[in-house]
Parts: sequence; structure tokens; C-alpha cells
Amino acid sequence: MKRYARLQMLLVTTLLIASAACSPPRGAAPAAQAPTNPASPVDPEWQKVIDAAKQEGSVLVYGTGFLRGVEGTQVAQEFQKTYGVSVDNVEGAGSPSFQRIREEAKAGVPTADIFLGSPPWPATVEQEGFFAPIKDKPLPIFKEPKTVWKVDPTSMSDSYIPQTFNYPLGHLVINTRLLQPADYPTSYHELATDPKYRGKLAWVDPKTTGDIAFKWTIWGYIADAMTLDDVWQIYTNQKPTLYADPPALADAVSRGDAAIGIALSGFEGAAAAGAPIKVLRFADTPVVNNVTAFGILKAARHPNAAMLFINWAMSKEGQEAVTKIAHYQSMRKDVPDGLAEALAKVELVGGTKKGPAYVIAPTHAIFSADLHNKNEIWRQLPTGVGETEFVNTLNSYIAEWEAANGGPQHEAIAVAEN
Amino acid sequence: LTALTIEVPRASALAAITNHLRRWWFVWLFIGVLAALVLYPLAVLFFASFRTGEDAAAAFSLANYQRVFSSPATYQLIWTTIWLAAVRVALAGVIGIFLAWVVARTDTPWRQGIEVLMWVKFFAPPLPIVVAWILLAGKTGLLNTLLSNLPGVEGPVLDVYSYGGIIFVSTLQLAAFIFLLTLPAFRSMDASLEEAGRVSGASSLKVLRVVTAPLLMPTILGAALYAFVFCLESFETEVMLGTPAQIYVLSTEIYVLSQQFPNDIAGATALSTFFVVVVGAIIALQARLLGGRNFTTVTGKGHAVRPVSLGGWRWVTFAICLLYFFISAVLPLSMLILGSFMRGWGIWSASAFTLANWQVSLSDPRLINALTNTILLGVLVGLIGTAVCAGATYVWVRTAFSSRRLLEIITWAPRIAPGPVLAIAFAWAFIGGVPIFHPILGSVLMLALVLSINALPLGSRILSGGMHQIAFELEEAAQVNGAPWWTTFRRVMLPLLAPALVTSFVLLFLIAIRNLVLIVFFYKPESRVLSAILWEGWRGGNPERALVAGLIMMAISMVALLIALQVRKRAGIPSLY
Repeated sequence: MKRYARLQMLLVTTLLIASAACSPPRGAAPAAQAPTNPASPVDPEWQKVIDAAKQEGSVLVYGTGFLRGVEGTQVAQEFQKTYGVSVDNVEGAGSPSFQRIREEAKAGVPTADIFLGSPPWPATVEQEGFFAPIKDKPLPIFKEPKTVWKVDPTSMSDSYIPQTFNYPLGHLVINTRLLQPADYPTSYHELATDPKYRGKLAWVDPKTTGDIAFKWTIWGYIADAMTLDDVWQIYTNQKPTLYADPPALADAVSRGDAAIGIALSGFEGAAAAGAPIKVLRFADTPVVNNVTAFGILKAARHPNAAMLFINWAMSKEGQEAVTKIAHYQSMRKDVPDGLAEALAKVELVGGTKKGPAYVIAPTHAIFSADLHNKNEIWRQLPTGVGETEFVNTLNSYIAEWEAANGGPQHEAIAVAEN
Repeated sequence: LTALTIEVPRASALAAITNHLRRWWFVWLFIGVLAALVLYPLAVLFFASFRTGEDAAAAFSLANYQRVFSSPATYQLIWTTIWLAAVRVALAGVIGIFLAWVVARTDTPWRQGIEVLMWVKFFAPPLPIVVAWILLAGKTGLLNTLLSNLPGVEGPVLDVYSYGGIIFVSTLQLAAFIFLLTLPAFRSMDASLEEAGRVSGASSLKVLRVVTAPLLMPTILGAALYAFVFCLESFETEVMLGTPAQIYVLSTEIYVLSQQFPNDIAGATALSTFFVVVVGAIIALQARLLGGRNFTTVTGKGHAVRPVSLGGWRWVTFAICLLYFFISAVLPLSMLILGSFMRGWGIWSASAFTLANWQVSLSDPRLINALTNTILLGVLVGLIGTAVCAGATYVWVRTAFSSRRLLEIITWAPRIAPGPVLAIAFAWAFIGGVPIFHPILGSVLMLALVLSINALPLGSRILSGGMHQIAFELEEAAQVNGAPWWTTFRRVMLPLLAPALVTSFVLLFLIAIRNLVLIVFFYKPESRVLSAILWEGWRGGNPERALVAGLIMMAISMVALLIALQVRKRAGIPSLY
């Protein structure tokens, strides 16, 4: 028994030491100040929503985005402090979260109030008819001047709102311990063809994720900065290390397993923890960002609490909490971005002039999903398909898709940079 | 006369059926409920594998099978999957069985401690362990950094992203699994049989080969076959260590097909038929190899458990055990603990360490809720799973019930679909199909039900080994003396089976609390358990929080182990078995 008593003592001591710790967690900033009351002056219709939301008492979010992790919990606590309404998030990537919503709807036992996710999922949830319209709701954010927004909340859809940007405004992330400034690439084409980058690249595995089709959509189809030949050559000639998904890739580059990550997402935590990384932006080349968006589900059990939460998350107070605590870029011009320094200080390479900044339109989310799901050929990379076959097959499909969807859809939504 | 000749057989057949039902109605009821829970979801899935097109345009054909099995890539995947599994089971079998023999049958010092260490190893959550090995043996891993300081060494020596890496990491894990599956049988075996071998002049090694190993054949074979199927379906290690090196296996492919959007469940299910074939072949193989042989080792004659004296070699076996534990547990667990105190896991800098990951996690009310849910879930799965498996194995091993093989097939059935596919099958059946489950949807009870079904193959293998070893004459003696069935079961079988029952409970408890695939698919905020927090942290870009959850899971497992040992100690049995 003495042994167990000692073990218990050890456990208790460890817990006490842990609870006495005072330094902030990875990436966490001091909690945002309690927001001012966003409900004043209050439109009577909106006041009804607030009262009903307080009665409902809680809101449940499915999906992933600014609510994830410890920081996300702290953001939710800021909302709860203001309104007394609790927020819970069943975190999950787009596909499983969407499948949950679908299965629950089929069974007639819906649970979630809000879906939160990145393309193509908000558009998919909308297409499947799970979102309720939001544009016609009395949310105070809709009455704010359009000049407040980097991207107008009503510009994408009638039923979902872009909430945060996903990427720093750049093209690549490099590990500064493994790549000297003289070796910084200045274009995707150089990355694809220069032998000095062979074995130094990290990219997603085309067999396990459709992310490659999405990345080509933004860098190739919209920004015209990466050709399909470049994609084939990077996979086939440059022998990249492949990772199952973007977070695994981001971790590998941050740790130093690979020098150059052909990716921009998932670096927030590592950057805040002091990883030796840097974002490169190619000169004279458009940058295309992606957004995480949210909307209220038709079958929401707490529709008023959901409205109140969405409005708060887009308000000045809410965006301040999201950027300061969870280190995101703000969707509002009157709230500074919260990116860690390593991601915020983007280095322009190959020239001195920045290209324009865009965010993808909903059509692009559908396009990238179709491009991946209807073309098995992506999965034959890196060695199972020749360059000509790969390029011709995809170009034929793109032509077919454009013909069915009213012509080329290269135009994205312009973003105002700070 | 004609009427009479027709009627008599009818009457006798009817009477036979009536008699059969009167005697076995409870077993049939049990089979019916089990089949509804296990076979119905799989049947729904199997049906879907023949379906092409959506809703109104849906048609039924073999097109999905044709599509999947006409691709040469499928056969490459199958071949890689099989040889990787075979190599790992062979290596892990040698290590696991050797360690079980050392602990149960030899005079190696500190055997109880070694057993506890094996449990510790087994408790470690697999996902963080794989990542710990990436940090240890990745290109910039700790071991490569240390080795590169040696004279004449340039560049990384170890490469965890390789076939060798996959085999090494999962063999270490699998060895502990096989150790735990085979240890009860080593413990239950009558040592006088080994002694007879030694008296006849055989060496310890020969006794192990000629006496011990053949006697333990049901358990060893069951464990090896189970481990083989487990390897075929294993996913985390393969995707994390295989993908960067472009090594692909069947489970990776099935996972992708079932998780992508729009998902290709039909393709995933068609591919899963490979598992139906393999599991079917394994059951047939097991029956053929074991058929007609007697493995009774627990008899009414008493039970000698004197260990084999190894002389000086006992220090060698002791050192081997410690070496295994150091490599398989101390190294990766140290990385896990270290990682939980890092601001960014694997990012070494001047300000790398912090206590805040623990501080924030421990102040999160969801963690307290998850702790309670985790313990509740583990206990429920342990109890439900063990009770169901005990019932099923008792019927198929120890009764004359004519359709007893049916129960064996049903308990194997969940193994024919890999985790992600099984999750979808359960979702279709329990969420979409059967309204009676709607009131418990997303509750801990629902999770317990799904995980208990998932645990049937493992629980049944543990308990069938134990059932096989108990001599039939023990039960017959009680019945001859007039004891009714229930008294015989309670007074004779239960005490003899107790070690296997406890093992089953503890293993199912542990398997349940660390499951990821099914829990992630079914949990809701009110039923959030620690593995869900681990998953959320992992996928949500907060691996340090995942590590904290993983380490707390381990602590719960350790507490469960200590309680189990304490209970056994009070009952006068020094070990968990």
C-alpha cells in the first residue's frame, strides 16, 4: 500500500506543479478584454433574438476553425462571458462533420446548430440543403458599412458567412535552418524544374488527400502561377516527401524534416511556438486565400443562440478575440491581424512588387472538389502516369467543366490588404 | 398408410424441433440479438457494395467489384498488406511468446514487475507513440542527432519512414499484445507436464518446443491469427510512416475511399471483401489445425505451477525483458512526456518548455467530463463485452448446441470490416436504420454498445482459450452429483474462468478507452471521452493538448491496472492472471 500511496503523492504533486504553472500555452495570448455590449443600441427585433438565445442557453458547432484547441475554448469563453450562452464544438474535418450532419438528418435526430468549415464544405452543406438562409436575419453585422470588411460577409452566399482567412498571404513556407536565402525559390516553376530543390520539398500525398486539386485550383487555375506540368514535375522529378494531410506537412516543415513546404495552412501553432519558419511570396504573382465560413443549420435546436454567436464572432469584439487569442487574420479592417510574427512577416522574393490578393469564390470550391473527385488520375501521381496523359486528361476535364458551368471561372474575390 | 408414413416423420421432426427449442431457446434468442447487432450493419454495408448510382438512379450490379479488382494496383496493395502483416506477426509472436514464457514459466527475477511493465507498454496510446518515433528516428530526430555526433557518421542513420520503420514500430506494439493474449494460457498450464519432459532428459528449450508450445497451440494460434487480422487492418502506423515513403496498404486505401467526399463506400466495401475472405480462411484454418485435438490443461488433478529454473540464464532473460521495455516504452514515452511540456512539439528552442499545456488542459471543464465518461465507457464495454463473449464462447466451446459454429462466426464478423468502414456500417444501421437506437444516439451507452460489438473478436479469442483449457469432466462431475447447470457454472466454471474473465474485462476496458475511429464517428459533446479530446487536439493543430489527454488516458489505465492487481492480491492471486 505504501507504494501506491507514494504513487498517489507523486501524481498529486505533478498535478499541483502543473496547475501552478504560469506561462501561456502554445500560441495563446492573454485573454481578450471583456467585450463591450454589442447589443446597444439594440434593434427590438435583435433584442428578441438575444433574449431567446439566453433562454436557449447553449450553441453547438460541428466542424473545425477558430474554435479548435485550447485557444478556441478561450474564444468561446469570451462569448459566454458576454451573453451567458455556452459554446461547444465537436471538432472534425469537413468530411466527417458533414457526414455527421447528413446521418443525423436522415435519422431525424439533428444535433448541431452551426457548421463551421473550409471549402468545399460550406458550399456542399448549402448544396445539400442543410443551411438555413442567413442574409434575411436581423444580424447587426449586416448593417455595418461595407468598408469595414476585407471580404463582405454577404458576398459568398445567402446562407454562410466567411469568418476567418486560412493562410498568410504568400506562396510557400520554408524552414530557415535548412534553406539559405540565396536558395529561396522565386516561382513554382523554378521549384518544379531546378534540380537543387530535389529531395527538399514537402507536399501532400495525392493518394490520401484531395488537397492537391484544391491547391492547384488556387495557384494554377486562379493565380496562374503553377501549371499542371509543374505539378507533375514536382511529384515525379523532385522526389518530394509526401504527407497524408496539410497539418502533418506543416508539422514536418516546422520540425525540420523538410526544407520547403508547398503549403500555407496549419503553421499557426508552430509559428507561435517559435519554429524557424518563414513565408515566401513570389513577386508579381497573385496570392489567393481561402476562408473558413459558418452558417446556421436548418434543423438547429438553438437557432437564436446560433445567430447571436455568429454575429458576435463577426463583430469587432468577436474578431478581436479570434485574432488575439487564436492568432487568425481578421476579416475586418478595424481589427489588427493576430498572426504570429513568423507568418505575418512575409518575404517578397524575385522582385519588389506584390501581386494582387484574392479569396476564392464559392464556384472554386465546387470546381476543386469536382476536379479531384471526378479524376482518379491525381491518385496515380507520382509515378503511375505520364506527363502528357496527366496534363491532357485534366485539361479536357476542365474544358468540359467550364462548358457545363458557363465558361471559365478564373475570377476570384478581391481582398483588401492591410 | 400413406398418410401415416408421411405423418410419422413429420411428427418426429416437429417433436425434435420442439425439444431442441425447449432446450436451446435461450441460446437462439441470444444468437438472434447478437446477429441483429453484428450482422445487420454488415449486411447493410454488403448490400451497398452492389449498388451503383445515387438514390432513384441506383442499380445493382457487380460493377464496384469489377472496378476495384480489375485494377493491378489493388493486387499490389494486397500483397504489400499481407507480407507486412506476416513479417510483423512472426517477429512480434517470437518476442511476445518468449516474454510470456519468461514471465509465466521461468524463475527470471522481478517477473511481476516485468508483467506490469508490459501492461504499461500496452496502455500507451498508439497514435502518439508513432509520432514519438518520428521524433526519435525521423531525419532530424533525437536518435539521428545523437548518432550523427559519432565519428565517421554523416547524415541520418535511421529512417522511420520506411518498411523497416513500420515493421519496427508496430512489432514492438504487437509483441505486448501477443504477450497479454498468451500469458493466461502459460499461467494456467499444468507444470507437471513440463516437468515430465525434463525428467525424461529434455532441455528447457526442448521442453518449451515439444511440450509447452504444442499445449498452448489454441491460444498461440488464436493470438497469432488475431494479430494477423489486426495488422491487416492497422492504419495509423502505415499512414504516418508509410505515406512519406510512398508505402501504401489496403487499410490506407479503404480509409481514403470511405473518408473522401463524395465517399466511395461501395468501393471501400468491395475492397473490404478481402477481409471477409481472409477472416473466413482464418476461421477454417484454425478449425482444421485444431480439430480433434485435446488441449485440456486445467483438470481436477490439481495444478503445479513451479517455474523452470534457468540458472545463470535468468539474468539474460531479465536483461532481454528490460531491453524490450526500454526500447518499446521508455524511449517513446519519454518523448511523449517531454512533448507535453513543450510549447511546440519537436520544436527545440531556448524557450521550448512550458507547464502551460497541463495547466490549460486541467482547467478545461470538458476534460473533467471526459474523464468521467472515459471511465464509464471502459467499465461498460468491459462488462457488456466480457458477458457477451463469455456467453458466446461457452456455447460454442462447451455445449452440444448443434449450430454453435454460428456463434463463432458472429463473434469474428466485426473483424471483416476495417474501422472506418465498420463505423459507417454502424452509423447506417443504428443512426439511419433502427429508430429504437435514437434515444441513446451519441450517448456513452451508444458508444459502449458500438465498442462492445467491435470488441467481440478480441474478447472471444481470450475467453475461448480459457474455455478450451478446462476439462469437461469437472462440469460432468458436478452434474453427476446432481448440481443444476447454473450451480455448476457458478461454482465450477466461473472460478476456473476467472483469470480469463478478468483479462477480458481489463483488455476490453483498455481497448475501449483508447479507440479513436469509432468514438470520433459517434461521440457528441455530452459523451466526449479522452480519446475524442486527443483526436480534437491532434487534428485541430494542438498536438500538445493531445499529448496531455493521451498521458491522462495512460494514467487511467495504470490506475485500472493497480486496482485490478489489488483486487487479485486480496483474493490471494498475486498477478492479474
